Order: sequence, then structure tokens, then C-alpha cells
Amino acid sequence: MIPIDTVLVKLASRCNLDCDYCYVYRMGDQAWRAQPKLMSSETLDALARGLARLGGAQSDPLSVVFHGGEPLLVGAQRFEAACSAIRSQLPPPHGLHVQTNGLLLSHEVIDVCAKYDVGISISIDGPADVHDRHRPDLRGRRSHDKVVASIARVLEHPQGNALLSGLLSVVDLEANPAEVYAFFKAVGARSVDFLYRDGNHDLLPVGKTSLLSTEYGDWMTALLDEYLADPSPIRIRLLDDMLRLLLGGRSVKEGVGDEDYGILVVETDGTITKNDTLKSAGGGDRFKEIWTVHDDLLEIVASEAFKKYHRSQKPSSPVCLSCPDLRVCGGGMPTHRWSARNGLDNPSVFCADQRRLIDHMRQTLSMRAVA
Amino acid sequence: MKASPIPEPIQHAETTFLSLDSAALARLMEEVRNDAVSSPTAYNRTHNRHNR
Repeated sequence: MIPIDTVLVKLASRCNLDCDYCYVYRMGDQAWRAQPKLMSSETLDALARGLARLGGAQSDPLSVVFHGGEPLLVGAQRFEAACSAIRSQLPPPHGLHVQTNGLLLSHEVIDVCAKYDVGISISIDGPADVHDRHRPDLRGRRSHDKVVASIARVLEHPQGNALLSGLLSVVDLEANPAEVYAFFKAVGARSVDFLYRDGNHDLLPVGKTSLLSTEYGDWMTALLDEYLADPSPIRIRLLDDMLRLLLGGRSVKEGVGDEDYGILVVETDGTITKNDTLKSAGGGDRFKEIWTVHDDLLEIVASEAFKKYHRSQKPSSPVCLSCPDLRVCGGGMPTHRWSARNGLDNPSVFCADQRRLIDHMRQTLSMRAVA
Repeated sequence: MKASPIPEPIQHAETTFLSLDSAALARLMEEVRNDAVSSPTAYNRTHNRHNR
């Protein structure tokens, strides 16, 4: 059976922010409009029972992530009911997290997270000018101050340091990497991860002038230099993963290295879909089969259609398969490989960027070698 | 699917031969020695690995 690592649960199909780069609402896919705004308790209960069976059939624990839209749009009481439903069937060591934009992260919600051992990951792009350039609310108002206040609220909780899994940031090429890194340190984060702007071969990510250009690689290289020079560094997950692979270790992040990454995505109506970032790849996140949480998840995972989708997550283009850096790069996110002409049989649009970054990492390691 | 070729060895990347002037690198080398993927306080407290 394909081991499932992550189960992404869309508690809400709507969001209270209007981020200009969002892969759900801003990249052409309109499927969210047909979804219920919130996941019902019946759907959650059925999902929890199915996950208990799925988790019991594999050796590694599941990581269930409440996601959206904005998952906390369900409200504190309903959020607690969702945590209770999942935790009643999936106690630790199964992981439970919420990925939130932070706007609704009240004391009450944080207490619920502490009660049910729910890790909190907050999306924030850096200093106010960077963040507010891309993440306004639905009326165009700035959101940065509220998010920073929410981070502080989590950290003030007696279990705050354990609760805050990390911060998640989308790279803005116009931002100064050193200033962004300094901001994350100042806000009290111990871990942060960086995502590239989404795009594909038919629509290049913002800031990339061609497939051969290395704007994102250059930005990450500058961030790497800042990170490695810091005497008391926080954590940067993407850089840690790639460096650890170069040092002979292992990675954990989706799309990095050559480890399998099994993912189930559950929409608010209970439908099971593929990797949801494929929404930005011609709406390619739907199975032909209509599967829901009321079906047997074990049978779904064991089906040929699911296996085929799972294999498609791995890079398949000849360029990737002959690349000496593939075991570090991993081929990136499937959605970044997509084109209408070839489907997922392309290298990532960030291929040149990743090569630039890996080359710089190699040079950095070599420079530090003791003669 | 064909397996990717073995990457070019990283000269001198063995942990014991690297200068420890970078705190981040020293931490990572320690994790590699212990076959760990992160410290208990790292981003993936359990194993939150998703990219979104």
C-alpha cells in the first residue's frame, strides 16, 4: 500500500484574505465556488473513522492538516469539534496541524490547539511592506499587524513554543532576503519555510523571465548566505532539507529529495482529490472517479487510479531522470512541472533556480572543508 | 521510472571534515550523524511537510 504522509482537510472553502498569488482562487480554477463553505460534522466524523482505519494499516503516523481557504473561518466552537473528532480517532503520534493566515487565531482557538495537541503554522511573508503587498483582506486592508499579533499571542501561551510549528512565507523577489530573515528572527519564530510563487510552463511564476533565468535561485542563495553566517540561526526548512541531503542525510519536505510523499486532500464536501496545488495546473487536481470520505480510504489508496496519480508526483521528464542533482532537488512540486502540452512530463519551471542554489550550496560546503 | 544517477560526490562534505564556523551547518551535521531529520523544536514538530 502507498503510505500516506499528509491528509489535507479543507475545513473551509473560502478565505478572509485575497492574496494575489493564491493557487486556489487566483489561478483560474473555480471549483471552490461549488463547494460548501464549511465542512459538516457528518463529513468530519466519517473522515475521522476512515483515517483511523487508514492510519492503522500503515506503520508511519499520519499528519492531518486543517487547511482551506482559511480553516479558522469555521469558528472556535466548530474548530474544537473538528479537533475532537480527529483526535478521538487519531491520537498522537499521529500529527494534527492547522495552517492558518492568523487573522482568527484567538486565545480560545490557541487553547483548543493546546488541548488537542494541534501544531500551528502561520502564513506570513515577512516585514509589513512585503506581506501587505500581497496579502490584503477582502476589502483591500492590510493584514500584517493582526498576523504579527497572533504570532505573539501563540508564543505567550504557556505551551506556545511547542504549539508554533513554524511560519510559512512566499518569496517576494522584490524583498531583501536579509531583511526578511531578520524579520522572522525578530518576530520570535524558531522555524520558517519559504515557498516559490506558483507557476507552470504555460504561465511562468511572477519574476521569472525565462526557464533559464535564476531569479528565485539568486534570492534563495542570498538567503542561504545570511542563514549560514548567523551565529544563532532559526530554522529554514527548505535550506535545511537540501543541505542535509548534500551532507548525506535525509529530507522531509514535499517535493525535495527522493522520498515518497503520499497525500490525500479532502474538500469541504468530503470529496477526495489529488495534490491541491494542481488546481493551478489546468484544474488537474480531480480524479475521474468520485470518491468521498464515505468510501473506504484503504480501497482508494490501493486503486490503480490512485497509484497512477501517486507515481505522477515523481518527476518523469528525461531532463530530470538524467540530472545529477535530482536526489537533492527532488523535481519540485508537480504543479510547477505542468504544461497543457506535456502534462507533468517537464522539469520544474524552477529547474535553473534549483541548480543555481544547489551549486552554491556545494561551493559553500567545499569552502568550509578542512584541508 | 528509471532511478536518477548517483549525484557527484561532494568533496569533503563528510561531516567530520567540515569547518564548524556556521551554526546552521553544525546543527545539520549533527542531525546527519544521528540520522535525524530535525530537532524536536523544528518546523515539522510531528512531520508537517506540506508545501502550501
